[in-house]
Amino acid sequence: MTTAELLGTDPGWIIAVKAVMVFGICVVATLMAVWTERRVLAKMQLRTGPNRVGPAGLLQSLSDGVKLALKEDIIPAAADKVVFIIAPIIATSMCFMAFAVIPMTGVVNLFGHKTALQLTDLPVGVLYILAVTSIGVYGVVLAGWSSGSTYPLLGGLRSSAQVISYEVAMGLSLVAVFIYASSMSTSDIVASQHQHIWNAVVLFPSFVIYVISMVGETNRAPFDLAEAEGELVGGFHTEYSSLKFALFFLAEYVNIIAVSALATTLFLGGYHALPGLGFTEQWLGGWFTLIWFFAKVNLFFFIFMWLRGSLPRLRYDQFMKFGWKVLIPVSLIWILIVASLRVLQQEGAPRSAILAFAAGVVIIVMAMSSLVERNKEKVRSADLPLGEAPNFPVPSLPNVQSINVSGGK
Amino acid sequence: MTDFNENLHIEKKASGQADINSVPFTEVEQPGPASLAQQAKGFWVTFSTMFKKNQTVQYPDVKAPTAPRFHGRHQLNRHPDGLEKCIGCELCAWACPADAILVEGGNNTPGNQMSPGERHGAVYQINYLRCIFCGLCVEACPTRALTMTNQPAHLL
Ligand code: SF4
Ligand code: SF4
Repeated sequence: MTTAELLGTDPGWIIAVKAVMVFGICVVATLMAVWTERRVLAKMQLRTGPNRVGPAGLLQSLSDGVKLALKEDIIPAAADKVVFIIAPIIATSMCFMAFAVIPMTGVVNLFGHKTALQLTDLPVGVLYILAVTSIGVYGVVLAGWSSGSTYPLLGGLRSSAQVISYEVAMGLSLVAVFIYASSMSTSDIVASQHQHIWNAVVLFPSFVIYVISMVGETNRAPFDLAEAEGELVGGFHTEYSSLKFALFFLAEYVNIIAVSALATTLFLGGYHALPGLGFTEQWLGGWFTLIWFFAKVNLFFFIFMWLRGSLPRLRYDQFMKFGWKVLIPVSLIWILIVASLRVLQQEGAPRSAILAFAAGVVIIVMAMSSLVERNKEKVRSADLPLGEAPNFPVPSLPNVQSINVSGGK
Repeated sequence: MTDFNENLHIEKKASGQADINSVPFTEVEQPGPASLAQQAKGFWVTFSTMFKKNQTVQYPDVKAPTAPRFHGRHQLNRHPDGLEKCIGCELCAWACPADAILVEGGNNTPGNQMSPGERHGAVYQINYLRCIFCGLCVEACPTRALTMTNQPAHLL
């Protein structure tokens, strides 16, 4: 019985219970995530991090949340009131909705009913996730626009441009997964990985592209241009306070957990155990798979923290260039290769033909990259045309006399 | 100080200033992107740091000795004969950039001789929520009545 058929037999009250559970898991995971992030980042900087509220500071984010809720709620005079209030609601609710199709456990026993911890199973589940997360961008844009102030507007525009362009790369990296699993449903993709091998191994380039673009998608360091504290005050949520700010905060972290969960589902075999540890899946009546699922999600979350601790923020043009000129072309070419291999396989081409095709692709890629490298060398060694001197005073430096900044004639 | 422009053979304009257009240019090698291994090294730094010892001192719970030249809590001194040095002149209060000091002077009377001379500091308060420990008050004090000790000013 497939997961879709299994979920089809759910009575209404089980669905309601699961909806509440999904919501609860998201909120609790956010509280834990904030605490974990602060502690781990602190460790990376030889600090301790929050350790005074509750045991080891575990209740810190809860008390922060309570504090935020009790603060004065300010709506600026220049703001568009209705949109200003709706924006955080859109941003948050869309993140939660993405979680509806994520399969978190295998078959489990929930109050005497056989089901799986997945709210619903759509034949186009992954497309649905892409759709709701892009609606979430509206929250950010509208927040920036309705604040009636400059920095939020800049931040909102930046982040929408960022999310849209990285969503292209993200969507393209998922195409290879669809081709390989011949399905867009999350549970089917998990099942197909269980039968064969994790997509992260066979579709390694897609995996790398997805991991990069998921960081870009969620506006996290080093791609956190939208909230660049040093440049834009706080980005799109500068004017927000109290619960509305808390909603944006919640949205950010739920979004991170959602893309990590999607990465787990699509590339790391979902809730299934590591290869060779399959017997653990029966423990606790199937509930042990939830632990595997969150272990994998945490792995991605650790990558988020690690990036934030290691890398400085990118410049906006570098960031866009990276997205459009590197990630998207690479994923397009990769899709072409995967699709051709798939067709060859389905047409029953002999193994030698497939191998020859793969070898040909490898040779072409290597030739192209070496050509590009040589071109780079040429550009580097070519004499720069000596332009006119700049007509503004330049300070004299020891050893370095001056850099020609005016370019050719 | 050496003027690096001296050995550049820059023609001087009639006005005596250097003609900026005659400054010779040389190309500067720009470092390209680092290799993948070198970039991975950066990630290793943050990762390995996680397993090192924290530098944080849990201050109110653990009181580490202060640095030898740390200047912290203020102290009003006395002359060897027991009279107070402070004369209530308020110079410290006026010098304070954080407006942390309140001084009210009082008259010395024959029955109540607090300090040599005519005046003494009757009220002397320092607000440690405002003080930034700059030490300007100590510099301002004409009688060396006010000094700073090596103790941290315990706020908790
Ligand atoms: S140390 Fe500086 S801030 Fe503190 S009381 Fe003296 S003058 Fe004011
Ligand atoms: S400057 Fe010195 S003498 Fe004058 S009031 Fe302050 S502590 Fe007293």
